[in-house]
This record gives sequence, C-alpha cells and structure tokens, in this order.
Amino acid sequence: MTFAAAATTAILAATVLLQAAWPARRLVLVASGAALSALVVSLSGVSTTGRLLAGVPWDVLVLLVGLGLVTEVLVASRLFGLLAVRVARATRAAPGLLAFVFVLGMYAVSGVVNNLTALMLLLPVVLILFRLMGVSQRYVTWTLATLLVACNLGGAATPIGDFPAILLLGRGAMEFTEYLVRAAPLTLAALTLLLAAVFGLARPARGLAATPLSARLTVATLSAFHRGVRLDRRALLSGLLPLAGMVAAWLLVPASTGVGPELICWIGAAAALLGAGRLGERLARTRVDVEATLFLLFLFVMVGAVGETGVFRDAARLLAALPLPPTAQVAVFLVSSALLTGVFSAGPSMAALLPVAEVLAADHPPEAIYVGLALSVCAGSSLFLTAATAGPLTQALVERAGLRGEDGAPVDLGFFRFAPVGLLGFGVTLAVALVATLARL
Amino acid sequence: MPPPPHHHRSQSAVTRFIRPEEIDALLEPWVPDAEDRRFLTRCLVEEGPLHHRGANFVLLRLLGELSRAVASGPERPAPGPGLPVPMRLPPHLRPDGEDDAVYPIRLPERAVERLAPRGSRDFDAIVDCLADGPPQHAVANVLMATILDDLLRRSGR
Amino acid sequence: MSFFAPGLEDAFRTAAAELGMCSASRLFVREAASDGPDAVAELSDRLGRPFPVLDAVAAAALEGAPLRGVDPGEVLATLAGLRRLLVAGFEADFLDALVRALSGEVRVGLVRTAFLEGDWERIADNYAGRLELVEMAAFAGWAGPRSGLLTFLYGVEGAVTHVAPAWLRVAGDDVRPIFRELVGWDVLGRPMSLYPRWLTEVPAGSFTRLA
Repeated sequence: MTFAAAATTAILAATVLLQAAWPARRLVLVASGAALSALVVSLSGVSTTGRLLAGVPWDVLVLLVGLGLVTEVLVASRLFGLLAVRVARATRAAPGLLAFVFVLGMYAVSGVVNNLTALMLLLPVVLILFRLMGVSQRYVTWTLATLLVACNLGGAATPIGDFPAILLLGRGAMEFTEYLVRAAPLTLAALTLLLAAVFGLARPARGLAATPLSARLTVATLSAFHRGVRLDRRALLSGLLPLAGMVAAWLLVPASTGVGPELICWIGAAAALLGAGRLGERLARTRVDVEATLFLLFLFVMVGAVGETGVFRDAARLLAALPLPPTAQVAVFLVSSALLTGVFSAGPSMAALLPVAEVLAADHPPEAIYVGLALSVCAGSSLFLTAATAGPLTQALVERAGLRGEDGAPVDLGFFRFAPVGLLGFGVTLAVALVATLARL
Repeated sequence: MPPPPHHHRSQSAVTRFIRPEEIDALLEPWVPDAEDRRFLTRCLVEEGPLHHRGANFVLLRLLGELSRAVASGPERPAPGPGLPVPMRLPPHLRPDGEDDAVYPIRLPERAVERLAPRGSRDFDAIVDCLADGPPQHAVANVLMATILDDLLRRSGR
Repeated sequence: MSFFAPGLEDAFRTAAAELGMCSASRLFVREAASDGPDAVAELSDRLGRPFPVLDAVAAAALEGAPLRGVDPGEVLATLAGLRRLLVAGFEADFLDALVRALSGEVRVGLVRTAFLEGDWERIADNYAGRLELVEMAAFAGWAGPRSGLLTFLYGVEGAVTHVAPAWLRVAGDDVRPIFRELVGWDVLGRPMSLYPRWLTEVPAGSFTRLA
C-alpha cells in the first residue's frame, strides 16, 4: 500500500469515527478531513484538487437538495400535522395501534423524503402524543427504535428515499424503475418480519395503563392544537404535482435523451418553488440543508481521494482473491458492508463501498449486487443508534421532550436501550438482503 | 412651618389631590376625542414618577385657573396641523405611517414662532426640547405651551 | 380504579403550553365531565394543586356551572377604536372568539414569550394569517395612539388579579404610556382558591380597562 493510499484511508476512517463521536463538530471535522485528503493526494502527485472536485457526484447533491426543497413545500402545506390528527382520531389513541400506524407511516414517508426529513416530520407529533398519552420506557424504546428501523427501510425502498439509493440513481448504476421494482418488495418483506416480531411478540403497549378517558383527552387535545389549521392547498399542489411529474419522468424518460435524474429533479424542484410563490423564495433562501450538503461534499472529496489511490480496486481484488466461491464472496461483501455501515454510518459506507460493488457487478448480475449493497447498508444503519444521523437526532429530541414513565422516571432512547431493537432490525434486513441477493446469483 | 428637606410624602398623599377629570377638561378644547383625552390624561397624571404626576397636575391646574380668569378674547382661529409629539421608540421599531407612534396632541407652531422664526434652527431646537422626553414631560410641555399660547392670544399678544 | 392514565400532569402541561391554562382546563374538565362528576373530582384532586386554574374551572363544574362558549362582547367594547392589538399571554378559547369578532382592519399580534413553550408556528397557524407572532425585542413597534395591549386575567379579587408572567415582561413602566389601552380580560370569572402557581399578582387598577 502506498503512503497516499494509507494516509487517505486513515484520514477517512479517523474523520468518520471522530464526527460520529463528536457530532457537535462534525462539519468542521469533515471539512478538515477533506482538506487534508486533498493535500495528501496533491503532494503525492496521485491527483489534484480539481480532479477531486470534478469527481464529486454533483448530480447526487442536486438530487438531495432538490428533493429536500420539494419536501419543504409539502411541509408548508401542513399536511403532515393534519394527517397526524386523523391518525390519532382513527386509532382513538390506542398505544399499540398508534405505534403500528406510525411505523407504517414512517416507512411510507421515508420512501419519498430523505430519512432525516421523514423523522423531523413525524417525530415531533409522535412525541407530543407520547406526552399526552402517558408512556412507559418499554413502549418508547420499542416504538421509537422500530420507527428508526422503518425509516431506514423506507429510505432503501425507493431510489429517492435516502442518500445510498440516491447515489445509485445518480451514478447511473441503476435505473429508477429497476431499483424500485427490486428493492421495494424486499424492504416490505423486511418490514413485515419486523412488524411481526415487534407487535406480535414484543408488543410495546403491553403493560401500559391506558384508560378510555385519557385516550379521549389525547385525541381532543391534539385536535385542539390543530383546531384552525387548514391545509394550504397551493403549497400542497405546488409540492405534489412536481413530485408526481418527477416520478413519472424518472420512470419514463430514457437516459439516452441526455436528461438525467438530477436534471429532472432540478426542474421539478424549481417548478415546486415557483408554484409556491413567495413561500418558494423564502424556502429556497432558508431551508436548503446546507449542513447535510456540505457534509456529503466533503465526504465525497475524502472518498474520492481514497479512490484515486486505488484502495477500492485493491479491496475488490482482495475480495475476489478470497479462497471462497463467488457467491460466498458476495455474502462476505454484504455482511462486511452492513458491519462497516454500523460503525461508519450509511453515507461514508455507501460512498466507499460502491466502487467495490462496481467491480463485483462486472462478474455478477449488477442489479442484485447494487440492491444487495443498498439493503446491507440499510441493515447497518439500524445496527447502532449512532449508525445513522437520525439516531442521535431522535435521542436528542426524546431528551428535549422531557418524557416521563409511569413511575415518574425520565424516559430516554440511549445507545444501549436501542441495541436490542437495532439488532433485530439489522438481522432481519441483512437476512433478507442475503437471501434475495444470493438467490439471484 | 415648611417640611424639612428631603421629606418624602407617602404615595397616597401625592396622588390624593390629583383629579384626572380636571385634566380631561383642560384638554378638551384641543383634543376633541374623549378616548384620546383619556390616554393623554393617563400619561400626564397616572403614569411615571409620582412627583411628576403631582407637578403636572398642579401646573396644569394653575394654568387652567389663569385661563378661566383671562377674558376669552377674539374667536380662537382654527388650529393648524401642529407639530407631532413622537413616542419614544427605537428608530427601527417605529411603525409605518405618520399617525403612528405619536401622541394625540400636537404642538401649535404659532407657540414656537413667538420665540423663533419657523424653519430656523432655533425653531427646531425649541420643538425638540418641548416634545422630546418621557410622555409625562413631553405631553405636559406641549399642553402647557398650547395653553400659554392661547392665553397670549387672548391677551392681545 | 382511576379514570386517568398515570401521566396526567405531563399531559395537562403539554395542553396548557399550547392552549393556555384556562382553555386547557376547560377542555380537560369538559372531557372528564362526560364520565361524570367523579372523573372531574379525580381530575381536580390530582391536578388542582399544581394547576390552580384547573382547580377553579373544575370547582365551577362541580358546582353545576356549565362550561359555556366564550362571549367576547364585553372585551370588544374595551377595544373600540383600536387599530392594533397586541396580546401578551395566550388563551386559545378566548383569543379564537376575539379574533373572529374583531374587524379585519384591526391588526392582532401575539408576543412570543411564555413560561410553558408550545409550538408557536402551530399556534399562529390556527388563525389563518390573522395573528402575527411578535418577538419580545420588537413588540414596541406595535405602540401608538390607536394601539392596545391585552392579557388574560385569572380571577379578580378586590384590588388584585393574576396574570401570566408574560404580561410583566411586556407592560413595564416605559411601555404603559405608548399604548392607549392596557386591557385585562378575566377568563376565569372567579378568584382561585389555591395558591396561584405559574401566575403573578398585579393590581387590577394597573389596567386601563377590565372585561
């Protein structure tokens, strides 16, 4: 291994670990890591800053920013708050049913918007419901941890659900329909198994001392919070119509036209913002997720620097050189991807592993490899609370909500409380990924 | 025997002699709206330090007495637009519109013109001195200047 | 057997943060009353001491006084002639009725300060653009000879009444002379019988109008 290869790999690993351990400094850390990586490859003559920047998948960033803005237009319509009220009324705030419906809802929503946005849409109202209903530590742990796993599964279900899938779409590794047709049923299968295990066996609501009057109070209070809130039809249509148009275009417009998925997203986002009028301008100025965009940009630079040194090519060759049948090699790759994701989180893992997958895809059905990778990364995202940004964010929101259990003790969602459910989600998702992928080889 | 220096009266002693309805009556010729008079009366004798409330009441009452004692004189001319008495707000918080953030009483230009020509720097400085400051000062100054100007007019000046 | 789940106090505090103490109390008492007076009595027993406004509302219900809709007629009279109305403190039932009854020419603002923080954006969303949220640093921009300040009173007992602390943050000596009216709207209609936790005593005479 050359000095540049060792140095850039070490910088990437150290930066990713540090930013996971020190999230308050994550942006500065990755920015510094990217700068160091660029310095190493420049001084060693392996590459240049210009080449690193040219190698950044800008189309992926366009997709992320564009989809984020379309989501913000939909949020401004107040749709999600009003839906939450309807759900509370329909379930009569029965804790078990409420948890089940919200898990399904999270899966559906995170298939359309990125995971963090899906969480920020649903979690505040879920936490308000918890405060109104009265909960136990057990209920919160199982419900929120399952929500997080469902969020990851939903994000992997569609090509636009979260960064790993968007990367596949943006890199042209898979077409929109192809990914959707292959990945969605698998994530649905994993979700079904998860729901059966959680609500059939663990039963989060077991032991909760709910009463009909408390349930009525919960529904009445949440309804009162939204008593005069009206759906902003203009914002709703401004968000939904372009989104529908984008999905149709992703499905129908062939890549040979030169109109790629990122351009479709760009046009759709612009249409959504234009349709929303002054709201659109305000959202464009204030609601672009600059932190996430910059984080990914610097991550791509670091991964690009490692890639330029040939580390991924060597990793793929190492994998191919393992004294195992090709099927087993793929299995090793998928399990390693899941475990690496658990440590390094989905963004860095997907960015680093995709080049290895591209090598494997030369010898195996590509769609099986890419979907398998996406699902393995999804599994890894559920392994630890810190494996995805959504985890620490959820932990912080739960703390801020000041929930208390039936004994009056504070309720939280810490690393160790999450672990059993995370392990379940990891196991179920990885099992589905392995079975589905190996069956296609 | 006069009270010793720094002998402070109780709050009730200071406010007992204040009768807001007499201030309302003093304002009536220049402030036709009853609610505006109520607001100005509150600013003059019901807000701010007690001694200012008491002082305002006494001085305005005395002017009122003098006004009743002096002959009514020629018919009062129609009041001009007058000069605004602004509320004390930070500049960036001043609401839009000319009528906003000013007290519902205007300083008659004629009163100031007795002392300095309109448009001169002295004129502007006098307006500043009269209309600036907390309302118990500014509104009291403007009302006193208005009454004094009217008294001078009625005495033929 | 209890009518309520264990987390009742947290539930009420959450409701009060976004609806106001009195409006939240009315909602809780109304729902409890559907299960009979025993439920109201239990509600009062469990939450009366920490939330004396709820204690007062529950006491009125147990005495047989029905929870009526809100009539803003009396307070509307005190606001006649105003073009801007700034509210400090929040009571959903009462502000809803007032905003519905006010002329569209009157600008209504709500100062963003409270001891129990709710979702301000959602609070404002309930008024379809009729209610503007006003930051503490900027509320003086609402001053003027046709401007009024309004807060909610929790019972008037002789010369004193109780208000949310938000009123004290806003209606200082420097602010009183730049608003034409300082209006107190009694939402409780009776003095509280328990120590007025969460609230502050002020002289009833410090308001230019009471309703």
